[in-house]
Amino acid sequence: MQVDMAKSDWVNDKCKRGKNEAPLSLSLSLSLSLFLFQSLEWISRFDRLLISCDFFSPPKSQVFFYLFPQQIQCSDKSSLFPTHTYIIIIIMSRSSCHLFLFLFLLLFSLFPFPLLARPFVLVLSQDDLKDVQNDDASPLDSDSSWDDDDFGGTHVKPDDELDPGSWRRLFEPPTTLLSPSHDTSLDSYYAAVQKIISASNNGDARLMEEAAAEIETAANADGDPHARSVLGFLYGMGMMRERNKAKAFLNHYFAAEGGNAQSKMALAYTYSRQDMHEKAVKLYAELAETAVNSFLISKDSPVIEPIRIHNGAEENKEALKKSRGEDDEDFQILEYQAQKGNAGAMYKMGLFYYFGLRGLRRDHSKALMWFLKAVDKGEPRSLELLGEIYARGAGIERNYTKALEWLSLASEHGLYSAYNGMGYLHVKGYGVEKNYTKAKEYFDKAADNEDAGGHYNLGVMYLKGIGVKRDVKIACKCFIVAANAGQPKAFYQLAKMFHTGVGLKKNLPMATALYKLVAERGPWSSLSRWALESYLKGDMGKAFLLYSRMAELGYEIAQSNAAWILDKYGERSMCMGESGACTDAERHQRAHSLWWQASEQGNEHAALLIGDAYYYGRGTVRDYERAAEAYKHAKSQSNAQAMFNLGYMHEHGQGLPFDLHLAKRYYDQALELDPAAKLPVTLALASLWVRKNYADSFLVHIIDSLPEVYPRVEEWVENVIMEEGNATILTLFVCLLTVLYLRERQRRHAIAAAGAHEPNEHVVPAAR
Amino acid sequence: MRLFITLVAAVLCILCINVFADPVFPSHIAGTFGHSSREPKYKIEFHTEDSPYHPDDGQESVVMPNKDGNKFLCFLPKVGKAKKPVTHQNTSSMIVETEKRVKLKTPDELLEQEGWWSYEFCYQKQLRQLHLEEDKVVQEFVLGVYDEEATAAVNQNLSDISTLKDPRSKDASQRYHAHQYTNGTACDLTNQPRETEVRFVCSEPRAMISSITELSTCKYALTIQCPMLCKHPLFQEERPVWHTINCNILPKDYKDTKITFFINKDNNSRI
Repeated sequence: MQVDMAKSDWVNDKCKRGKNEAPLSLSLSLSLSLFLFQSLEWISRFDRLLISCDFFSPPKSQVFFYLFPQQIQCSDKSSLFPTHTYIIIIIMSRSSCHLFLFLFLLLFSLFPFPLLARPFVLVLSQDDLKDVQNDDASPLDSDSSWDDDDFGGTHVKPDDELDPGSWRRLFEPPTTLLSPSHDTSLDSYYAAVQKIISASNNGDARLMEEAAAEIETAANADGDPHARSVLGFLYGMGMMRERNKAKAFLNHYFAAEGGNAQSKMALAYTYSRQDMHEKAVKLYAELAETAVNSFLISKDSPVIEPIRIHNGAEENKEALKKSRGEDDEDFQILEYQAQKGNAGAMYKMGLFYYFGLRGLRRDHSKALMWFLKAVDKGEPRSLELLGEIYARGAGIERNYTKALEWLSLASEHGLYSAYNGMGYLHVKGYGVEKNYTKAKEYFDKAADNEDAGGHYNLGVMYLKGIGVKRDVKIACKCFIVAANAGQPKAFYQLAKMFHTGVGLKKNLPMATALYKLVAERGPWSSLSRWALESYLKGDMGKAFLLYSRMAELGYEIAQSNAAWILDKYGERSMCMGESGACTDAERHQRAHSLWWQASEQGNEHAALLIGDAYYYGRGTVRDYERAAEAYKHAKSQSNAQAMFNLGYMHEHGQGLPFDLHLAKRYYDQALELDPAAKLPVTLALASLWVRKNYADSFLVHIIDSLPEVYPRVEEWVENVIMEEGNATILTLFVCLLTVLYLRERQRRHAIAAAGAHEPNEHVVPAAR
Repeated sequence: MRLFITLVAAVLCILCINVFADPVFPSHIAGTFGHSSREPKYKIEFHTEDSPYHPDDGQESVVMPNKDGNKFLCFLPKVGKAKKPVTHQNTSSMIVETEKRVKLKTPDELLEQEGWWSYEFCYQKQLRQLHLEEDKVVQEFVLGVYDEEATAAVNQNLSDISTLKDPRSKDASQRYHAHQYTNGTACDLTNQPRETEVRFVCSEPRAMISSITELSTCKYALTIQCPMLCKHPLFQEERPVWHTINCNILPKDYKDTKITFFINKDNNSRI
């Protein structure tokens, strides 16, 4: 079923599969550290059996974004390296289980497992690749929707225009004072939203009620689509209004008609959940187009995915640390280095500001300043970005001639993606004469050097027959290569192909899914940045509100984040219910529905957590059967932990029939799926073995009593052994023992060696 | 004797019309949607001035202005009632009826692949677990042969409809109608013949095997989605409800305040 690029005979040789693999050494170290993290997770999850400690949660989060394999690597790479710091943390933490963890870790690191991140590649079946006649009378030519702008990035409008009614001005107040708008309804809308935000920050139910009333008036009296969109949100969540899906739907429908992009997102998501693909695809196509037009011309912008603030049940500390913007220590060090004249640091500073990475606010003028400085210092990578800035006119007057100069310079320095920009300018005839042959040469060069953008642009040329004979097949192939390298624009083109049935077999659900991926990168994704900023500032209420809004727009990560905040912070999440602060029931219901939505969208952890809630009776009645059903759901999404839990439930006859064979099978499956489960599975299998061979014996009772005994042992260890002074003494004692042991061994070794050399003298030391 | 039955069943199965369900879509993406099929769904319908929608008593209405300055009077659907407890007054006839419905629209044979194994289900005949290589059966286990007596016995005990707990919410459950398939290939671990409970659930849009699980060693449960079953009164509530919001366009000179007032008053007087 899977299309093997290498085997397909009609692959254009320009579109060879890009090399995604990291060099061997890198991938080795990657896999090792990944392994360590996974084993840590297993151990921490092992609490279900023995130890009750929640500590680790490895950065395993990105795998859900399976359509962007390369970016998975990119975004995971950085978070994987500091393994050592983790080990040190374990030693430092004054808690018993971490000591165990450390021992287990040592034990674990002795087993070399081959471990690779799960590969996620866009899988297309042979059926999808329709045989397309390459005749020129194809309906495509008359289709105006395939316009010249598929190269992207021409009409750059400010985000406010693309996302009307955006809450941007409340979070990123413009530096230049806006002339007080002549639009009073807009002003009152923002005033009301501001009230909602501050109310959710303080948990002020009265203010919230007031704001909701204002929003309702604005929506109904003035017919303001943005207010209507917010009203839909209030009804959808059940905030200050009785939860009413029909009213939410109705309001979003009219708000979307009125041009509110966020309501369009919400509506499209609702349609796709209801399997109304015809309608969903139409809205998502429009949104995705908006998103694509805000992308860059030559380079693919670095990953600005919404950050998952949790990993499984724990806070994703690594990712959060990297999002603190100017407060981050690493960033401050970088800034210092840049100010001291380090060209690399300057370039990075420019990059961070240009794309708004690491939790920074985008600042084009700062970016330009740093890039120019870096170029002065002879930093070649900045050349390309300067070309980009001039071509887009980002924070500066647009100047194509200058752009071309910078880009050519960059390409001379071996920055192949710059060829994309040059080709683009030649296709458009910006700053130069239109020259398709030259443009194609440039794109070829970029593609030859494994640049995804090059493949993408070649795809566009073949699709439209610009400078080449039109060939939809080659175009499609090129887009697939670019998509597998993580080019969002290529996803857009593939989505379009699935949508229109040109080049690929018409498949609306697939088109919907792909469009959705692209659409989610539109300007409305800024919500995630503000939410994260609020979260890092400790404004849980604000963060929760913003993530809830995003959850409504269909972002899986936001759904998980909002649900996680609810679970983790409880009342501190300032959740607003139908009348005042959320009751426990409302909170649970909301978290549950958010987790389900995340689960539907492929978050395997979500079903696991739902199962846990039932298993432990958290926020709901304890119900082993429902827990088992939820775990089965997670298992079908290949969650190894859920398999382990199912095995455990079979072993103990909780919610599932008592069945040791099946228990063993589940344990084995868990291990098969996740080699890091080695230790817990081994222990579980040992307990199974005992249970089977010595049923009802003393040992079985011991095993059964372990879950109750361990918390007590742990408490004892924590209170007595890990007491500040005791811990130090203990550590010293252990060190002493180790040293003594090592010396003893060394001595024996020396004696043995001496004995080997002079066998006759071996009596002497004995006599001594 | 058992062999004979198996053989007969196998022959019967081969005789079955080969109606294969579509293969499961291989990609992950398609699978991530469509899990919400049992939540209520919403759509909106617009009516012209000439043939406006006539609301029921007590239907809530809202005036919605659109971007062109037109106004619509939209009637919200009545909030659905909670599931009524099922009454088992006429159980035996219900069973017969359910069976008929199941029979009517389930293709006689379903084949579904899940990883290494394919599952072949022949209605009221047998269920096999196969490993296919290039459409040839390489390995096969019979998971059960239809057992009319056991089916009747189980259905008598549990009434004709059983329920399965649904983790979606703490009181959600899914109803199913069960058939028992017993006397399959002997199981190494338990030395008992394999057996399977086939569960028919109401689900649209097409008939397909939705899941196979092992309840306990060599005892399986196969869930089959069966659109026809949704027509059955007992299963109707399982189907996702479509709520329609009906909107009537209002003449431009209408004053919305008056209308809402009027309608509210109207509602109140009727209530």
